[in-house]
Amino acid sequence: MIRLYDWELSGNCYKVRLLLAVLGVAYERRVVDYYPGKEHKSDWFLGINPLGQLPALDDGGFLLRDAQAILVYLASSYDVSGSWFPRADPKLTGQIAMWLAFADSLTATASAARLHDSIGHEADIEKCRAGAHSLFRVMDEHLWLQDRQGQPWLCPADRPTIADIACFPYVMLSEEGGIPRIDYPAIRRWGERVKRIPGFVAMPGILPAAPLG
Amino acid sequence: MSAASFEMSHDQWFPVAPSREVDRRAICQAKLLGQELAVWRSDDGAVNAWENRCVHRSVRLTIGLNLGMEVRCPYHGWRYATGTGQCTRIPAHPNLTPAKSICIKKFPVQERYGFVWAAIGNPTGQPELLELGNSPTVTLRSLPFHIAAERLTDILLETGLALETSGENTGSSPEWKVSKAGSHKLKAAGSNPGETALLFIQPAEPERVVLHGCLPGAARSSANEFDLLRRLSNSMTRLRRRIESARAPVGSTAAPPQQSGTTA
Repeated sequence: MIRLYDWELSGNCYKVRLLLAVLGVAYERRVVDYYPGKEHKSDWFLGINPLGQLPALDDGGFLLRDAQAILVYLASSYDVSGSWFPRADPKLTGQIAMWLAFADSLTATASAARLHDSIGHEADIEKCRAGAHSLFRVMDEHLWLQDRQGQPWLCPADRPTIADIACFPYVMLSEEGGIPRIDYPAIRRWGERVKRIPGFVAMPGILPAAPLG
Repeated sequence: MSAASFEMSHDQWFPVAPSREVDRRAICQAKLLGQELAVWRSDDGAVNAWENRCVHRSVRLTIGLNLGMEVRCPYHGWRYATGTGQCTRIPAHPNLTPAKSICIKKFPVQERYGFVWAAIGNPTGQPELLELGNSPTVTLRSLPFHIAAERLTDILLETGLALETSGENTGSSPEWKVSKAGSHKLKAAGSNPGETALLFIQPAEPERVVLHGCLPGAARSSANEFDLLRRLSNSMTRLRRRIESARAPVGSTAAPPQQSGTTA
C-alpha cells in the first residue's frame, strides 16, 4: 500500500492527493503535523526526507520526496491510460517538465506568501507577491493563446497532464497570500477545467466547480 | 483617471469581458469605475452584472457557484436568481420565503459585438459601434494595465502598436497607428488592408484599466487569425512592460508586478 506523508493544508501534498484520486489509486495517509507541531523537522521525519519537506511517498519501501517527482513517479507507475505523463513525443515531455519546474517557482512565490500570511513564515512578502504576479502573467498569456488554438490545458495534449496538476494548487490558493487573480481570466477558466476533471477532490481553500447540469 | 471623469463615465457602457470568456456555470470577476462586479451567464444564455457581494455577510459571489439559473454564495448557501438578483433560498431557514428586500444590486448589462458591456449608472440605449455594423467580431486578448485611462490613451496615440513580424528577415516591424474613435475608444490600423482593430479602455480603478479589442469580422484563415491575435497580444504585453519599466513601482497593493527578480 502506498503511504503518503501528508499535511492537509499543503498545496504540494494536495497535488499528490489529487493525482492519486483521479488515478483511482488507494493509499494511506500518514499525517505530519507541519503546523504548529513542526513534525516535518523531527528526527523521525528527517529519516524519511532529510530535506524536512512535505510531501514524501513510500511505495512498498521505495521512498521518494518532492511533489513534482512524486507526480512523475505515480503517473509513470499507475496511469494505465498513459495520458498524464506521455513520453512518446519528446517536445510534449519537455513542455511538461518545463511546467513542473514552473510549479516549483510557484512554491517559492505564491506559496511562500500564503505561508507568510497564514502561519507567519518569514518571507519578503512584497517580493513573493510580485514574483507570483510575474508568473501568473506568463501563465495567463500562455493559457489564452492555448485556448485560442483549441487547447484547454497547459501542454498541447488532448487531455490534462501532470503539468496541470502541479501548477493548480498554489495558483488557486494565491488569494490566501494576498495575491488577487482578477487580472488573470485565462487562469480562472483553466482552473474551472481542472476542477471538472473526473475524480477531482477539493481541499480547504479550493472549492469544487459547479456541476455542469 | 480623475475622480471627475470617473463621475462623468457612470452612464456610459464599457466592455467588462469578452463574451466567449463568460463560460457556462462560471462566474467572472471584473471591476468598473471602482465597482467590483460578478459577471455570469445563466443557462438560458442571459448575462448578469451584479455587485460582487453577498447581501448576507459580504462574501464575494465570484467564489460561489453558478448553478445555472441561480448563484449560490459559498458561505451560508444563500441563493440569488438570474435577472432579478432576488434571494430565493436561505438554507438556515428552509421554510422561509426570503423577503423581497433581500436582493443583489444589479447593474445594466448588454451583450454585443463579442463583449459583455456594463454600466454603473443609467446608460441610454445600447452600446453602439457603428463602424462594425452587424458583422461578427474576433476579440483580442484583454490586458490589464496599472495606469490611468487618459494616460494609456495618450501613450497609445503617441506610440501606436508595434507588431513583431511573423517570420525572420521580413523587414522592419510594422507599426499599427492608433487614432481616437470616441470616448475610451480607439482605432488601430496597420498598413495592409484588413489590418484594423477597435480598442476599448475599461476604467477599472483610477490607476487601473483593462484594454480590450476586437477585429472586425473580415474573412481570414484560422492560422492567419491566430498569428495576428498572438502578435497583437505580444505587442500589448511589450507596451505594458515598457510603461512599467519606465517608472518606479509604487508601494501600494495596486502596484504593478515587477518583471524581474524571480527565478522563472
